[in-house]
Amino acid sequence: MVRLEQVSLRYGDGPFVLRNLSFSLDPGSFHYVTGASGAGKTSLLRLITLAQRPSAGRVAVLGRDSASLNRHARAETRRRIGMVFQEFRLLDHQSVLDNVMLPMKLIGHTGPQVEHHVRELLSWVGLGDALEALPPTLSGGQQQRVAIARAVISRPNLLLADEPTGNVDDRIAARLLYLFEELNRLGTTVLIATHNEHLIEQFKHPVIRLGEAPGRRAPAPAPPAADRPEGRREA
Amino acid sequence: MLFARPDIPLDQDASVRFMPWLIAFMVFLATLALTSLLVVESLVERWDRGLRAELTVQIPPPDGAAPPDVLQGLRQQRLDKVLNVLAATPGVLEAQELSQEAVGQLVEPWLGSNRAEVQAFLPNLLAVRIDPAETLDLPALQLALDRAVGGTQVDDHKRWLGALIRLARSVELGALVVLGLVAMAGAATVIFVTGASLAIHHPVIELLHLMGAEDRYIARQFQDHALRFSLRGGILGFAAAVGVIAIFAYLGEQVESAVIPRIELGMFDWAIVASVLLATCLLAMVTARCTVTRTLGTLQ
Ligand SMILES: Nc1ncnc2c1ncn2[C@@H]1O[C@H](COP(=O)(O)OP(=O)(O)OP(=O)(O)O)[C@@H](O)[C@H]1O
Ligand SMILES: [Mg+2]
Repeated sequence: MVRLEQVSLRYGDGPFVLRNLSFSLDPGSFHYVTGASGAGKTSLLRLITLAQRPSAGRVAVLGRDSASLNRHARAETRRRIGMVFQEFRLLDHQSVLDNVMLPMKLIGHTGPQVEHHVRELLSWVGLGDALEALPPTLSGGQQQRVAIARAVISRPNLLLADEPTGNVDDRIAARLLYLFEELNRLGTTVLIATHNEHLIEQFKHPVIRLGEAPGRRAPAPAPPAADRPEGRREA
Repeated sequence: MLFARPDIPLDQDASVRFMPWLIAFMVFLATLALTSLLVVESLVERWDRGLRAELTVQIPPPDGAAPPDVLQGLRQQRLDKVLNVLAATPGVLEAQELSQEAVGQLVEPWLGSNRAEVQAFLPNLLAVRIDPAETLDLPALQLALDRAVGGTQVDDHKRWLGALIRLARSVELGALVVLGLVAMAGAATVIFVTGASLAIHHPVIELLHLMGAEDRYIARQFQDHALRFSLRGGILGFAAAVGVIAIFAYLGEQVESAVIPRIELGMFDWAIVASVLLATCLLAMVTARCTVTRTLGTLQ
């Protein structure tokens, strides 16, 4: 589903954010990726969404080598990935409903049936009465749930969530994790970046740990930063 | 739904405020230019059609002083000779003498209305209807007529018609140039506005790309946006132009003149004029679309 081989990443001439990272996520697996702030969690997800090219190594997503994808194939691949951005990235001028409809529009599925489905999902994440609200009028936690709804609505093959519970209380966080697990049960491969150890304790899944902040990283060629190379199969 | 709710908030751009007015102005100009082109064209065609089927034969008055009744007899003789020649010419359908009254009226603006004095100098004029299907040998006819009555002239109006048609053609050319310039200016404006808009909305476009939107999905939104503002502006400009044309047409009706062009357009011509609106919208849409696709295509 996702495979990284000896992947290194640095921005420009800056320090290496990721160094010789190798792991793979099997179809239907559920992983966390953790690490201190600045450890490169978001950068790793950007590699997988093909938003960033690795400085070295190979990244394969949904069975295709990222370097070989042309513009069209990359778009096609991305439509099969659900992404929850750390900073949400909602369309501020569109209602919550329209925001969540967007991935469906991109895959060409619209209509009353789909809209019904969207409403259901939104009530499930507790936004049933905010359907017509504009994102800037919502709280951080509410916006986060819109972002999550948007990422899962199209039942992607791969779900990437960057700190998806950073702005909600534990009860809602648990509810969102149930949502991810439900999606995972239906076949979606899940990768969640978080530093919420509490959550990792509560919902047990394999963890990929990224090294300490790059500034303090030893100059010696470090071993692969993931503590679980060749991602484990789910229990 | 004619327009899907756009993902890119293009209707918040500053261009939304001025683009319709700019388009309105351009459509106004283009519509007037095209209408004048069509009016002139139909005028040329009418002249041509009318005059191709007609010749004027001018028989000079007999020389010398003689009592009026003798002169009158001479005129009649000469007239008959000419009529005989014409009757023997293939392609001539009918020759009709313009009465001396009528000829007098024709020259009245220049020579005054003192008929008796002037009459002696007036030529006899024949209006000759010819079969436009047959090619008349004009030089041969001229020769034959001159032989019958010295000094007789055939005029097929080509000379002054030629000048008029040249004038008309230059008016048409001017209209075409205006049309071309307006189209170019319009396209350039759309390219500029679309480029600016792409820069303003870069974050949203980036997000759409990250979510797997194809370039054509994004281009479609710009295209719809272009359709919206060009339609709004186009209808305004078109209505204004039709109003102006109607005023000219009304003023033209008030003046009884064969020279001032009447605005007489058929259904087909109106369809062409209305196509300015269609062409404007198409041009704006295609330009916006191409600008977006080209710009996005250059992003690695
Ligand atoms: N676009 C960029 N250009 C330059 N440097 C960047 C860029 N994005 C991230 N970095 C750097 O890469 C490092 C890793 O950033 P990243 O956002 O991946 O960390 P993170 O693990 O997601 O942190 P956090 O937990 O705070 O979200 C940081 O040192 C950051 O400064
Ligand atoms: Mg991050």
